[in-house]
Amino acid sequence: MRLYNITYFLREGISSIFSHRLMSFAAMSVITACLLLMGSFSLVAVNVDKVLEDVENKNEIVVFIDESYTGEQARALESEIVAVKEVESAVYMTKEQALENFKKDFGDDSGILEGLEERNPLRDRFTIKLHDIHATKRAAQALEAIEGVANVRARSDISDRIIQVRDVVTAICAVLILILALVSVFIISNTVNLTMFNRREEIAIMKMIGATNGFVRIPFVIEGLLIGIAGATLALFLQWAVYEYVVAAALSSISFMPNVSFGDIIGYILMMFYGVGVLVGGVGSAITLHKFLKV
Amino acid sequence: MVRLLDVCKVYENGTPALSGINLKIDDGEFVFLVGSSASGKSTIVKILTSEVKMTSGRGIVNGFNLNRIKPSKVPELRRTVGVVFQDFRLIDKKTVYENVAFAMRAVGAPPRIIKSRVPYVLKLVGLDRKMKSFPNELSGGERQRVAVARALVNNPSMIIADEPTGNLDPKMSIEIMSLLEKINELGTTVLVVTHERELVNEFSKRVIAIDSGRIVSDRTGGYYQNETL
Repeated sequence: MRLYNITYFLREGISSIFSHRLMSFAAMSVITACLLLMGSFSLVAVNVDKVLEDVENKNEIVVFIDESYTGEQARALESEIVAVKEVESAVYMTKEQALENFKKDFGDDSGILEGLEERNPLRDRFTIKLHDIHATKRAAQALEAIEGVANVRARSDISDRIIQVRDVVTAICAVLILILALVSVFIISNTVNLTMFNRREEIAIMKMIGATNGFVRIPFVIEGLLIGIAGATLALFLQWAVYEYVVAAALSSISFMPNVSFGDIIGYILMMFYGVGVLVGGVGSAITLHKFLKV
Repeated sequence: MVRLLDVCKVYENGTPALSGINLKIDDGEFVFLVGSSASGKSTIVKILTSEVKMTSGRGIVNGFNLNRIKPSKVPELRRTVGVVFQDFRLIDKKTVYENVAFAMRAVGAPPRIIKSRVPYVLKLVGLDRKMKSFPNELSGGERQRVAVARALVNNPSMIIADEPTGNLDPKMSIEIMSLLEKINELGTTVLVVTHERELVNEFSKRVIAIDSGRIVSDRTGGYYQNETL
């Protein structure tokens, strides 16, 4: 393709966006709206995942050490504990520290625990974090087998429930996003169709004076691409603003709720928005144009 | 150059449009194709520009075999035939200059050539002062002259004018016909499709009359007479 053709196609594509302002605006709005919907659902999914991950992290395993072990002996068990392959980290706590924490939990009522210092009923312990919550049961068994471990507290029933909830939420969100994507493609292809129908006369004239299909198609595809990119850009900024606003509002009412910052997922959102925008804008118009070229 | 041999056309819905058409137009001729509406005139134009395929028969236009032409070659055929329509078919959002230049870009002409050729052709049709106007700022006659300029700009060997004066008053009609005559004198074959008897009789040219899909008369230097139909 010659250079003067490329500049012509670009100029033609851009000027046609402005000369058909209303249709361009409609197409761009539809793309923006669809992307916003898809983006919002993705963000909900990502956040639910994050919340559940947080709950998972709080679901620790506690390993209690036999009372017959001295503090040093107990601490020495750390190397054996972290050697269990499911274990990510182990934090040691003496029985004295544990009692302090226990008192703190009682707050003003800590008086009832007085006098326990002499005969501390608590045990030295390790708080364990696992690589994968799925392995709770296996890890608990391995930890119990270590010599000197008196008891392991692992709520595998809770971890099983979290896994279930998480899998269901992920599946629902995936299905919703897929449905939205299909609906978006349908709506957008209809919009493009309408745009083309509006300009069928122009296309027919081009064909009658001997323009090849490619010559007719390229400015339309460029136009579609630019509209797709513009729609994606607008959607990105709107998504950002809405997300920041919603997160700020949510945090002010539920302060402990974890959230994903927009910066962490901007790469993913960028890829999704521009991918969809370019695909439906460019490829969509190329395909839709096909039937108007049969003159 | 046009050769149609025993051409028949029946549309998909079963409507017969043409039967046994034999037509021979040589390079440099000026021909009127006349007939009442629905006589088959427009179908002949569509066959000549490969917009519709003939049902049977054979045809050649400017060296392109209409029976065997590939879809990818149709644009090349159309570049050898400039078509002027009754409803002008200009692009409203483009200026006069752009409407004409557009036809040159469509065939891949370099900008340098476009810049010199478009004003030349617009001058030929007498619109060199309206290059920057938009079609809706022009009179019907002026619009048709833009359409003629567009048809002419790629130097086609033939111009087909399909009811070019259908939307024009008699004075403008004569103007457009005179313009087409001038173009013919410069060497381009001209085929004018019309049903306006008075206009045809103003010019002493070859007249082919068609009725109900058949050629009923073909007289060089003849007139469009009602009794021949």
